[in-house]
Amino acid sequence: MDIIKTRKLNLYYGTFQALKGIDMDIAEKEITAFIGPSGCGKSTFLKTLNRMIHMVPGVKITGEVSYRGKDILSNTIDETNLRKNIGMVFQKPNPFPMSIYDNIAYGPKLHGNTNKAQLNDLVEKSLRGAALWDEVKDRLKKSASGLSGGQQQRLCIARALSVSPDVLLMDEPTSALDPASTMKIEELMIELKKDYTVVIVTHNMQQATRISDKTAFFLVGELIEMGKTDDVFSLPKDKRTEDYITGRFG
Amino acid sequence: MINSRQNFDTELEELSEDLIKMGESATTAIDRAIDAFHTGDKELMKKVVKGDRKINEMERNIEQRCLRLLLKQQPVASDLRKISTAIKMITDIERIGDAAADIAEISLHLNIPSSLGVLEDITNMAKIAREMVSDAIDSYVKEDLDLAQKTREKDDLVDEHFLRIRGILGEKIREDIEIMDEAMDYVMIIKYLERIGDHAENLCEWVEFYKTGVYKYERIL
Repeated sequence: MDIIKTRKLNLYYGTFQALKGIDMDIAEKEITAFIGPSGCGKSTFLKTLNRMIHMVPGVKITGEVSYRGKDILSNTIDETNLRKNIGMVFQKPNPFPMSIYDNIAYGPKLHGNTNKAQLNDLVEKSLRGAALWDEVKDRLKKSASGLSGGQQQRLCIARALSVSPDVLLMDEPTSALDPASTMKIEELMIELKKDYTVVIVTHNMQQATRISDKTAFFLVGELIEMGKTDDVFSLPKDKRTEDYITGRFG
Repeated sequence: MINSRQNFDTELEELSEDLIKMGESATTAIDRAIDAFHTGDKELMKKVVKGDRKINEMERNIEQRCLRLLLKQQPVASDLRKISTAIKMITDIERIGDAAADIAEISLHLNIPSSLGVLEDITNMAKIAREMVSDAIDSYVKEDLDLAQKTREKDDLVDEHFLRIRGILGEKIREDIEIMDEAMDYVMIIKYLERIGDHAENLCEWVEFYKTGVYKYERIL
């Protein structure tokens, strides 16, 4: 089933058109990877999916974006609730300057959960979900800034999981990490797709081939090609996709 | 400054050149084997048998180059198909070389010209099989799917020759059991030629895969 759909999506930063008529269907409980050279619009598109892009002054959007059939471009949408359902993990790990425990409990508290026992369970469940529990269970009250980069990124994933999201958007989540931490996050993503829909922006072609089910290739604001990852990386339909993934440009 | 893509392109270009050279060596081996078979030139036969080592060596070198490229470049799309095609094609080319060497080796023991009256037929069969090999390599060089398809179809002609000549030789054996050993050698030779046709057909199938991702009517990549 397709969980997110966009139709004729155009996005302008002032007079500059960053997205041009994007039609896309994102399937539930799959990993969809966005690839393309810098400035092609893939991160902009990702941020449109949970309205993060609305924070940018001067942004104008036309077309349709729906999440589970609901128009998310509508002015009446509850943004906080939308971002609870469609969580986001960024390129650089950005733990809050507080303890590991509080990093995870912050979201659920914000959404009204103050029951201590429930919060304890939720923290453990989220950290387990992000494959971090065993590494931090004895220092939950310590500051999150003491964690390694890879652990911090998994903490951010755990934080996103703590509010029981439906979709996880990840903007180059491993580009600031070493190979071992990258591998852990990739393994985690494959685990996560059993329960969540994952959309990831990546500059790492091998990462896209390793973990994603579908791949979408963007170029100067256009969606050039989208299909099964195996197809896109073995027999791309568009020559521009072929040229990009084989490193002929970009 | 040369970028890594240009380096990779140069490597792929060299890979193609190596493959073409190996193909040429195999067709030369068939030419020589048939020429020697026809004229009874023992020296040439020995040369073909010895030359097979060179073809085997070429196979190993290309194999190494392909594996190195897979390791270092982690190729995708047409790059991946080109390299995997090369790995598969060299196996068939190597077998073609083996078949030519086997024909030469058997010919060493034959009395040529023979009284069995199949020399012309065998030479014709050899010409078709040899042409299939060079056309298969050509279809790879030119990335010509039409040529690959036409070349594949020629294998039926080689098979027809095989069945007909084998029939004639069977007849001869029934007429005179004394010629059994000699006739069996000829049967072996036409079997090797028939195998060369099969390998050429395989080469064409890999050319098709290289261009389309389809191998024997099935999309495999």
